[in-house]
Amino acid sequence: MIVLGIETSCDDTSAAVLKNGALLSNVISSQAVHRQFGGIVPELASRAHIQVIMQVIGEALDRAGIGKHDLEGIAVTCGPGLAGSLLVGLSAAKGLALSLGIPFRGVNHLEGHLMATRLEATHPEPPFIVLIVSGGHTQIVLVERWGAYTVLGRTRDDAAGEAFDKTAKLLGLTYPGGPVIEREAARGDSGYVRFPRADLGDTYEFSFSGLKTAVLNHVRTRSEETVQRHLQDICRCFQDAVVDVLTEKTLKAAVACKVRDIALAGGVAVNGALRQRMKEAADAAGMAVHWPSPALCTDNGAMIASAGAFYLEKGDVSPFSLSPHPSLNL
Amino acid sequence: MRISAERVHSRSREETGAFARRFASLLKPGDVVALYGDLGSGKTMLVQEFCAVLGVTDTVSSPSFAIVQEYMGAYPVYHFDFYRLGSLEEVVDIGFEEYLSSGGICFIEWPGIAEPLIPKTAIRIDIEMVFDERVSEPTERYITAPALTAGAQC
Repeated sequence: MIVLGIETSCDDTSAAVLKNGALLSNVISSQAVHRQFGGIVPELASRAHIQVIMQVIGEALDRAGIGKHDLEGIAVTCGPGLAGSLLVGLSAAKGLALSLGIPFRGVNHLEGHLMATRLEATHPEPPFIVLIVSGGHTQIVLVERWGAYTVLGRTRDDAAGEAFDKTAKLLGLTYPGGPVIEREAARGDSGYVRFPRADLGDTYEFSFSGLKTAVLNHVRTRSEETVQRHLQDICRCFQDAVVDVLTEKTLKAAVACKVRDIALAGGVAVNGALRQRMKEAADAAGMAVHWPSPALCTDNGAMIASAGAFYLEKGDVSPFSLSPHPSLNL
Repeated sequence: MRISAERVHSRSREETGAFARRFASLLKPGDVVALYGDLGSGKTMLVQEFCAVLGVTDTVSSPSFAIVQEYMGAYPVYHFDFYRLGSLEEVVDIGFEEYLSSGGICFIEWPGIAEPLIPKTAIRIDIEMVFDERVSEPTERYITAPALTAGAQC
């Protein structure tokens, strides 16, 4: 089955073509693409999605070497996300499906993230534990089988990626915070300061708000010169605190659920320190840890095509009355 | 007219929570609450407490990434965070003005960039943290808010 996947839930406009499980193309409109299409667009405006979506879809089809009449189904993110942005993708998907006379399927963005793992040659088979960790989400999910999930815990306040972004900002570093903090942290001293790990008792929940406040308190009670001199150390100790709790809770969930596989998904899954720590912990526990390639971790159409194809192949389609669901849960 | 403001000195998360619960019980549909304060000062936590009083059972978390989250309680609650927005135009693009006139309660974190669109009648809450090098997480806050009374008119 040839499926087009469309993702517009936040600030990336993406489309991908999947043929019988093989990814033929995955186009993500980065700022470079925005430039290519002429002019910088406001990052989050749904207008930005409208301006580029048909070109992104066209490019996904071109790179896959197929025409739109070859498509057999369309998958599109219907939530969670920004209502206006979701609506753009959903409307494009419905219009195309209607004009081509093919089915479409609304996909939960979070299910997309965890289905991204299926696009890799070696991927875990359920049951397994997945840590979905990004700018907007941080949750531990038990994948009982494809399509059947139990959310074991999520963040009570900030998502992990948001903690990276905000900490970067208060340290005077650039946005997005993840890559720049990881780069600085690589040469930092892990023993410089110990930032708190939120103790939420016997749960799989997270809290990163206090960590961000702790970094701010550290910075505000020291001279600018001291902070600059120890920037790498502060980044290292902050990243350690985030990675520690993510790893500890994920492992705990995997042990409690008696699974042998752990998967990482979402933009923060690109972080090298998280991957390394998770791998060490999994190795020690006799478990395997899997993560998709970076382009499949951040928001992308391929993961939506992957999840959509799973349902479309079973004849599980969405009605044309489907509307965006900004606060959709797994 | 709300003319007086109260400045609450909170020494703990519990005291902040108690202030929030007292304050939230005086909110009514159509109110717009703008929250000012540094990163980590507890804006999201205040909204969590407000929402609990307003009967919201959804998970209330920081909307920095999503810009706006909608919850259903006794009335619709819209939780904005303009931290990532770069211009007033983007605030308009997400439909902010429509939300304001929708009859729900709006909570706005990082309202600065949207200032021209925020109604004059908005309830403004300012949170100041007291930094302390002896602790990892400062627990002391000064919260300035209008002194709401039951039945107060805007």
